[in-house]
Amino acid sequence: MRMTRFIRPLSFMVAAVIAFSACAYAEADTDRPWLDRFEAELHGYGELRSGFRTRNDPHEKELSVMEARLQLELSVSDPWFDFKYKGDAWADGITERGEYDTRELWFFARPAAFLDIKAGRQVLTWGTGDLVFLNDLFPKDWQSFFIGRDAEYLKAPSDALKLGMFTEYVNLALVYSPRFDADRFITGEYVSFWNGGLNRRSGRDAILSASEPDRWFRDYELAARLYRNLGGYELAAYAYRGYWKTPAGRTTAGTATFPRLNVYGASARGPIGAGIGNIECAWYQSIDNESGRNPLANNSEMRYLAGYAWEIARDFNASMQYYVEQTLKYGAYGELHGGAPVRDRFRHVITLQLTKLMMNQNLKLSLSGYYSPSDNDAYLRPHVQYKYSDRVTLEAGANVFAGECSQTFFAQFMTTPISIRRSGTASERGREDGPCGCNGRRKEERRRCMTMNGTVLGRGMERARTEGDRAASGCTTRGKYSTRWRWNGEMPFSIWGVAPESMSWRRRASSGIRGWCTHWTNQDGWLTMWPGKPILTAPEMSRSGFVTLPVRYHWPTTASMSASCPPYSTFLRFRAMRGIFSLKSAAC
Amino acid sequence: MKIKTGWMVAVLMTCAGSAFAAGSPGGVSVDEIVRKANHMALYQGEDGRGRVEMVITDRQGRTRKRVFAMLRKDDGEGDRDQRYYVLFHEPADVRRTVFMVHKHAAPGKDDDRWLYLPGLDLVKRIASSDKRTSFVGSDFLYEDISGRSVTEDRHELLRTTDRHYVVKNVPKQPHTVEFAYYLAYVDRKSFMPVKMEFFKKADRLYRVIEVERLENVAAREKGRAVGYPTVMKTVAQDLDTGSRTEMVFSAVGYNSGLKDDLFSERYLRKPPREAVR
Repeated sequence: MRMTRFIRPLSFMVAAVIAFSACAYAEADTDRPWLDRFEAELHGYGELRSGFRTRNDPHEKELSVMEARLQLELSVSDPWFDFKYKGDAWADGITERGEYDTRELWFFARPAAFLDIKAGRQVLTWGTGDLVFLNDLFPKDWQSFFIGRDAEYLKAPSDALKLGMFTEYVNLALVYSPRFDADRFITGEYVSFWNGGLNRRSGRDAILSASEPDRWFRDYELAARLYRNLGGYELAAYAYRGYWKTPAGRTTAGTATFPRLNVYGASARGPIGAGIGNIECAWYQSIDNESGRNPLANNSEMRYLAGYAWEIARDFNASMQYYVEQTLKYGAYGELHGGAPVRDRFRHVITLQLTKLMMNQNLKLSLSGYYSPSDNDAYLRPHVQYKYSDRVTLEAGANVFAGECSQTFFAQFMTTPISIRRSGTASERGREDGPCGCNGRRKEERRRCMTMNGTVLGRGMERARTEGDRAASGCTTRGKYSTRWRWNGEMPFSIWGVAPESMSWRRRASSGIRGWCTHWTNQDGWLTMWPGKPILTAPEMSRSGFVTLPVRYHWPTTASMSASCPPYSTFLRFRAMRGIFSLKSAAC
Repeated sequence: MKIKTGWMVAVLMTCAGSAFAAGSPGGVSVDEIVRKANHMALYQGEDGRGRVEMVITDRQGRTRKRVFAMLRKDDGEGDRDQRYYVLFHEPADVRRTVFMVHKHAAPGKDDDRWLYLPGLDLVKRIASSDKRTSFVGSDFLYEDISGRSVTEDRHELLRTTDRHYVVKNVPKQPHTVEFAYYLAYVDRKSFMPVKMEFFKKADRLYRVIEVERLENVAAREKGRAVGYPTVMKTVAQDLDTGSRTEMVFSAVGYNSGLKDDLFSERYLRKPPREAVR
């Protein structure tokens, strides 16, 4: 289906490039046969990937991902143009269908010294954020990201014409997409989420359908970037005209929509001290709701990002970012929601990425963490990759979501509803099954408490207050902090070992897996981790689908780590590659 | 095979010179030796290009292969700043990944490094404070590729043999490097450093880089024919880990008029033909 979707417009965009190339041929020397002028390369890989949930999700299948994938890549180059095709075909165990996606199909030409043209389906990225996107309004595939596909799949392709113009002083990139390319957002098919329309979490039981602007040449997108390097610093200004990339509005009938959006922004990146610093900001102008009084579209926003990346030690890199989303016209927004707004005026997110290379850079350990102090939720993505050889790569990883309230950005993906049964007050217990009011009333209460006590959120707070203080303040937040970081009242992590090399997956899964549980408590205002009872037992793992992985591959390493708490999936991956694709490597 | 021109990728980090010259046996001061060796290893011609094949063999005999094209251009005269462009062909998972460096010779100024990941169309900036990190998992370090700055070591001419000047190089800031000192064997005729021996404390040799094949290849410089002595094969060995990396050059060319903007974001996103071929 995607194939037909882009063929028509492509013919238009590519025509110019082909015409240009044809003219060039007419002028070029004709000594060599036409076909000899091409250089073609074929590459590809096969991949098996499986992931499972460690807690049952009533709205989803037990497996989070299960696929056998084949990617083929054909590049043709000629003195006058380049052509590339890259396509993925995979058998998808979640949708139970064969799937196909064209990742790239483009022509490239450099008709003049100052001009580059690239037309067709292509992956596009710009901006300075590390997995945080402000001015990059090109489509992302959040679904792939959250089920644990390779990072490459976070970017979805655009059907676009890209012009690059280069001068001595400044460069300009223009991207024209004749039809809107939305993000591949979370629909509930693979991952369940907070469905605002239903006011509950939903998944496969109510797959989100949205009405996308889809008229050719009328619902277009235009993105521009003006940039130059000054010393070692990269400066850029951005503009975008198009639509919110994920559903950010709805019709009166309740269908999710993509309201119109303009974005203007700027960024800078360069060396600071021993590392690389970056700042970026963007103004999201929501055309359909500039006043903030339209309940059917998102408000305008300002977004800010500051980051720093540095090398902690040899082959050990870190990057930290601070990201803020500011809702504009918040007063009007608050009135619309009857004084209990769903969103905060500011959403703060702190991100941390750690990457460590070991064993001659063949083993990569990485951890991506996102924590939002305002939403009080978090997302952790530990990942291990081992390059067994130049052709075979093994991976394991996890997606861990945590949070206080299932409406917030990361916490909505938690498999199990958040429970505050154990330590909440009576008034909180009363709310636990409905949409929690944490972003509205409860948050307000918290703010009040914090102000009254003159402390900041976090450690030391409980200690600073006595029961009497609490009563006097009128706060009903008692117990909150002991539930904040409790994933369903239990442990965040388990670790298991893997049995010796000669065993198959099945044997290993049933014989080698041992885990233990820990849990966090809040004592004296400090987060404390306690060891607990074993939580992962072999039968449980077997049931969870881990052993259905149809791979018999001998894994040479002896240990693997994954998180195993409620709300996430883990993924394992096997990838075979070689320079020139052959059936033999695919059969691995 | 006819080799039109030759280019020495800067594999042999040079023991380039500073003004700590000791004596001057044979009329050549250590300062002069180091300066010339630095030039020979890194700065021959205004620009250079070549294809590099690396085979990394570990102690157990398992091999990994890296193939990449490399372009180099000097910024101005005086053997100082340079730009490097590396396009990977193999292994398959990093195919078409580009690594670009704007090397700054000034002391205390870090190089600018970029990485382009084609699957995401992502231009990444890399923090580069530690240059003594392995280059693509091989036994060569970044500093072996783009050269160790001439001012970072104190140099001393230990001895002169029939074929070599043997220069001892002691880091001025020992805490920034893993070696105590290294010896560079500089060919007396060509001034090409042909062997480096790295020592830890107590004179323990732990790492050796040695040129195995040196060819004098033709090039054109300002309209006239010249020959640049060029390293075509070099081997790095880590005696501690038992690992060994062979690096073989081919399709070498000098002074082909590479433009400055080739080392910019434009060509990160779309590699130039000079590198693809």
